Amino acid sequence: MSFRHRHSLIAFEYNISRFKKNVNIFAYFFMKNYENLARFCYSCSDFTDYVKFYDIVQYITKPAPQRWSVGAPLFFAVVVCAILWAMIYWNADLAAKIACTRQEMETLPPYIDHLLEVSRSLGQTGIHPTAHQFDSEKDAFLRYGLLLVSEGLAGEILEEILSVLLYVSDLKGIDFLRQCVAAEAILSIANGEDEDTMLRKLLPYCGIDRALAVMSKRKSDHAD
Amino acid sequence: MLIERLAQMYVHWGSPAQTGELGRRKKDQAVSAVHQFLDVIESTAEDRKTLFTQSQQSRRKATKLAYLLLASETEPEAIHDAFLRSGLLSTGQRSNKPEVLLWLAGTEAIARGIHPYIAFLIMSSYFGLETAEEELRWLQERARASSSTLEEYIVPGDLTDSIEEALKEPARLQRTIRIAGMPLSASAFAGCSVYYIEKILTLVGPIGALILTQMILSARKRLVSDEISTAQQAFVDLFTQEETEPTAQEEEAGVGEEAFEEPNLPDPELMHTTTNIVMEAEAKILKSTLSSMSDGEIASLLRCLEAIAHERLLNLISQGRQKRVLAVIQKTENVTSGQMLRDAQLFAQKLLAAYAPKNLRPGTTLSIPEKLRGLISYLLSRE
Repeated sequence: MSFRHRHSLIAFEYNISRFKKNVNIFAYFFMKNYENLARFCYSCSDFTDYVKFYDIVQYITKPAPQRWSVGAPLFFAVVVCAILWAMIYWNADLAAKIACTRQEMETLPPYIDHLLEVSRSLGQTGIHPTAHQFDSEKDAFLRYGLLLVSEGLAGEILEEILSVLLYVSDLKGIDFLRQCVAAEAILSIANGEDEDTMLRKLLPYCGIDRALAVMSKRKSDHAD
Repeated sequence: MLIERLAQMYVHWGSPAQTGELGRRKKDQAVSAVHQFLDVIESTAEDRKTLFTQSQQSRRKATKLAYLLLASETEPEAIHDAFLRSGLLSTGQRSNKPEVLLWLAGTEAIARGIHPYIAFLIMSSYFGLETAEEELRWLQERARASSSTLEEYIVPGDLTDSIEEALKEPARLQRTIRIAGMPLSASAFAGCSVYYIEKILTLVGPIGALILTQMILSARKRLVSDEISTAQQAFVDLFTQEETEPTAQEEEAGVGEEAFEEPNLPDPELMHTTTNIVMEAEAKILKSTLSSMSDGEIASLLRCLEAIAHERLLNLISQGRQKRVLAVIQKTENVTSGQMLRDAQLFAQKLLAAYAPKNLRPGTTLSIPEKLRGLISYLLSRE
C-alpha cells in the first residue's frame, strides 16, 4: 500500500465531523481552487493533520447536501484516494524532506511576515537593480530569488529555476520548508500578486490550524 | 505550481544526489563546461550545424548528446526522449544525475528558443544555491561588459504616446515587463525612441537589459510596424489592467460597503456643469489634460458627462485608448454620486493645471475664459 493510501485510510477511521466548523471556514479561505491542496498535503506533520486534510478533501469533492455524511464509506474512500492521486503528485521522499515538528513550524509565521514586508516594500519602492538592494538580505535563497526577479524573470522560467534549486537543495526539515515558502513568495512578488493572494499561498505551509487562525484573525481585523 | 512541479521532479527523477557529494574539482569542470556551452551557443546562433564539430570534441556523454541534438535541430519534445533512451538517466548513473539533468534542461531550453543567458541560469541552478549565485554574478559582469547599440527607430503607437507617463511609475512598469515577458516587452519597446529605451533598461539588471536589447534588435529586424503597434497595444493593455483591476481584498470590502453607499443616481446638475466645462475648454488644453489622465480616470469622467460631450472627449484620444477606456467602463459598475463628484473635481483640477503655464509666478491670473472659470469654481466648491 502506498504512503498516500495508507494515510488516507487511517484518516478515514477517525470521526470526520469533529472539525466540521473549522473546515467550513478554512475551505472558504483557501479552497477557491485546488492549488492549495498540495501545499496543505505536504505540510501535514502528524496523524491529526491528516484527519483534517481528509476533511478538506471531503469538503471540496462532495456536493453540498452530502457533505459531512459518513454514509457509503467505501465509495467515499475510493473517491478521495482517486482525487488525491489525480490532483497531487505525492512523493514520500519529498514529504520526508519537508517533514518537521510542530515546534519548528511555529517559526514559520514570523518568516512569512518578513516575506510580506519585503513584498510590500518592493511594491512601493520598486527594485533598484544597480543599487545592491538585496546585499543586506541574510537569507541566501530569498536574496538569489530577488536577484533573478530584478533581472526581469517571472512566471514559468523563474518557477523552473526555483524548483531546480529546491530539488538539489541539501537542506531538510524546517530549513527546507522555509526555502519552499521563500520560493513561493519570490514567485508571487515577480508575478505582481497582491498581499492577500500571497498569504493564501504561503500560509498552507504552516499547517491547517495556523493557516486558519491567521486568516480568521485577518478577516476579523478587516471587518473591524 | 511550485510544489507540484517539485513533486513531479521527484516522481520522474527520484531523489537527487547531494550537491555536496560532487567534488570541488569535478564541479569546477562541470561549471566550465557550462560556460563553454554558453560561448558556443552564442557563437553558433546563426548556424547550429557547426555544433556537430563541438559534439565530436566533447568527452562527456551528456555534453556530446546535448550538442548533437542541437546541431540536428531536434524538436524540444524529442530531446527528453533522447536523453531517456541514451541510458544516462538510468538508476545506475545516480551520482551523475544532476549533471545529466542540467544538460537535458539546457538543451531543451535552447531548443525552445529561450535566450542562452536564461538557459545558463537554469543550468547553473543544478549546482546548488551557492554556485548558482556565484554564476549569476559572473553572468552579470559578462552582460555589463558586452555592448549592443540601438539606433533610432520610432513606430507611432499606444506605447510611444504614453511611455513618458509610464516611466513615472517605475515599480509598476517593472511588474508589467515581468508579467508581459521579455519577448512581448521587447517587441513593444522596439518602436520607442532610444532615449526612452535607455531609461527602461535601467529598470532591470544587466542580464535582463542585455536580453531586452538583443530582443529589441531582433524584433526590429523581424516585425513590421503594424506588428510592433499591436505589441505596444498589448503591453499598454497590461500596464493599464494592473491599475484598473481591483484586488480580491478590495472586491471583498466592496461587497460589505455596498449596503452603506448612497443610491446610484446621477446628479443632473453635476452632469450639466461638467458637460459645459468640456464643451467650453480649448481643444488643445483638453487634449493635454486627457493625456495626463489614466484610462480609469477618463472612464470615470465620461460617466459624469452628457452624451454631447462624449464625442468631443473621445475624438481627442487615440483609437486604441478609446477601446481601453470603453473596456474600463464595461468592467466597472455602481458608481455613487459622491464618487462622480470627486471624479469631476479631479478632472477640473487637472484642467486648471493644464491652463497654468510652467513658469507661472505667484499672483498671476490664469488666462481662462470667464464662463469656464465660473463653471470650474462652481464645480470645485461643491461638496
